[in-house]
Amino acid sequence: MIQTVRGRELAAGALILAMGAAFAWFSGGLGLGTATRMGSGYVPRLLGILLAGLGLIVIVRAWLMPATPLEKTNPPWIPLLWIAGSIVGFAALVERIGLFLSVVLVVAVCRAGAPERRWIEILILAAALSGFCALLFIKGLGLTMPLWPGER
Amino acid sequence: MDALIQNLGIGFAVALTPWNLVFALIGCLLGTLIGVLPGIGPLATIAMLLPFTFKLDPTGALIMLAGIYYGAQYGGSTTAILVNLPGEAASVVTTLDGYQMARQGKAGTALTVAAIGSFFAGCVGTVAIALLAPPLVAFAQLFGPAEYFSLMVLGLTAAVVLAHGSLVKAVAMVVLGLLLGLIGTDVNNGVQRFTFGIHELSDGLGFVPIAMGLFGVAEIVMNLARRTDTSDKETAPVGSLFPSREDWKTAWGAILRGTGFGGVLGVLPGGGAVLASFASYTLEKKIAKDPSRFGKGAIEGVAGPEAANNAGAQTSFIPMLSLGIPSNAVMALMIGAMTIHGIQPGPQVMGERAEVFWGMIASMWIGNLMLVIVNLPLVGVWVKLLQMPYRLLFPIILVFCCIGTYSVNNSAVEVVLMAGFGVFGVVLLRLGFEPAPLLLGYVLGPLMEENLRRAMLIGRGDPTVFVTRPLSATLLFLAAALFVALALPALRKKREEVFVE
Repeated sequence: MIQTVRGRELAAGALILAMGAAFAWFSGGLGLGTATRMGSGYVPRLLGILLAGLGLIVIVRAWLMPATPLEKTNPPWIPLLWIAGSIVGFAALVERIGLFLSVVLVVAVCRAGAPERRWIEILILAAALSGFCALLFIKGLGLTMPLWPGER
Repeated sequence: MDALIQNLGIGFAVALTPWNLVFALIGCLLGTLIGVLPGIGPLATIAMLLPFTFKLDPTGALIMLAGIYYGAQYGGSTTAILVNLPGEAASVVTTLDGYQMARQGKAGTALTVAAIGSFFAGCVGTVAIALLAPPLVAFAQLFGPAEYFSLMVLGLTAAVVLAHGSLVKAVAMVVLGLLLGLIGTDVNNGVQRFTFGIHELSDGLGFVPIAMGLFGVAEIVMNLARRTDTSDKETAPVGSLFPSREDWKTAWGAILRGTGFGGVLGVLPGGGAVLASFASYTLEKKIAKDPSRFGKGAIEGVAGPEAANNAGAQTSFIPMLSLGIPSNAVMALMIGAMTIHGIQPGPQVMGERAEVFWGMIASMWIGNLMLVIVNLPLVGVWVKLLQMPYRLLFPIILVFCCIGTYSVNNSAVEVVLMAGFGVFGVVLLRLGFEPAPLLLGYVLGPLMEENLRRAMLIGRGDPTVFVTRPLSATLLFLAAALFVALALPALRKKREEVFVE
């Protein structure tokens, strides 16, 4: 895990260097054109090189830094996993199982990202929120999405 | 003057129709409702509530969005005063003296002064927009592609100025945003760029998934990791809402000065509202007879920055409405919303969609009025909301984000994209990047490329076209001057101090 400001900056520089390089590389296949008549790849290639250059600057500056320790913060990865998981679950299932059950799913899964386990509270929250969303979004705002499984 | 009254007449005729009044009211209430929640700034609030406006006509939708924006700002101030948690950079200043007032049992006074200061600033701001937008639109007719390109360079440079932390990393965020904006079909020749065969990407990366992922989802995750549960935080009692005569006397001058600061600085690209509230606080502290009161509950320290903040928020609409250039991330969101409703922001909006343009301006004033007469009496309700534990709150926010993103195009892929940008946002925050400049770059990417292409075509491939045209050269010179000034060590230090505070 990253423990110094220097390490963080090195990682940050590497990330944008890699992204810039990827954009610059994939621009090649899009037709670069000339400065007068720019092809689809011209501007992305330019920006990609610029981004990669900025990444290099960050890396070089990090290299010259003393290794001061980073302020300790809780890592966000476990909540991130549950939250992102609940969203992907919603996306994958909403058209199949409908709004009501997928809201219940999101509430149940994302609450795993919070420290408190209170099953009854989660159950009540899920049911109330599902009902509210069904009323508001489907009956009220008329969004076109299935409410129950197999409606589509 | 006659033209001004006539134009405002058109505006109020639109804004005062019963439905549009209802939209403004709903917007204000929803905005406050979400904005008051700790850790949720105006940006996240607007991103989250955007889908609520999809079914409305463009005018109604923009009126409601403007209402949401004011409501969110007001809600942010409430949280800053009552629990010492700023929802955004601009309300950091409000916490300094606002929370101290609250601890002395004068929270109600602070809230009222903030609301009335904001209302006054809003009135002035509305008139400023109505006065300044038409000449700016006329001025914009002189702009060719080269000038537009240079103007956007200036705007993005200014956005970097106000980002936290490293300058290089802020520039990198802008460039990455520009690149993300180019994903999708090239409008000139139909070439698919960076879509990797994913059909849903051919219209470009959706605006809503990016905004909600970076500002909604990532925010929730960071809050959960921090384990800052607001229910542990003590909420100060509100007390009387009515300021004493004494309080008024001290606050009034601060409101006037703050409005002046905010009105002028808000027009500048890059989010002048933050700068304005800091500048106003510094000034009030300097000219006060007894500066030691500041930080211990000085009413000027709430009144001035709040007025400055709101005046700045108001006048930041000027470049957006007249030139189609967002001056900060919130305005970038508004441009995204306008595009979703089929309005291409730019100088032509005032002529072609006069009812939208003036209706929105008139509704800004109405929105400000509603904040005072509707929201202030409801302060007890907002306090209750503040005390809601985060473990109940975040699943609700998350569900709204999911449904909202899905409803834009009935697309599950966009929901997955939102999750992806949530993850990306967390990584960025962990690596010390600030995502707001990215959003600005994303909105400007296609516009900038288009104008660059046209300018180079007209200039026959000669890049000096940007410096031989006087207007374009001036804009680029300003951008360069701003950048150099920032890179100077003395100013850099000052900038860091401001953000550390």
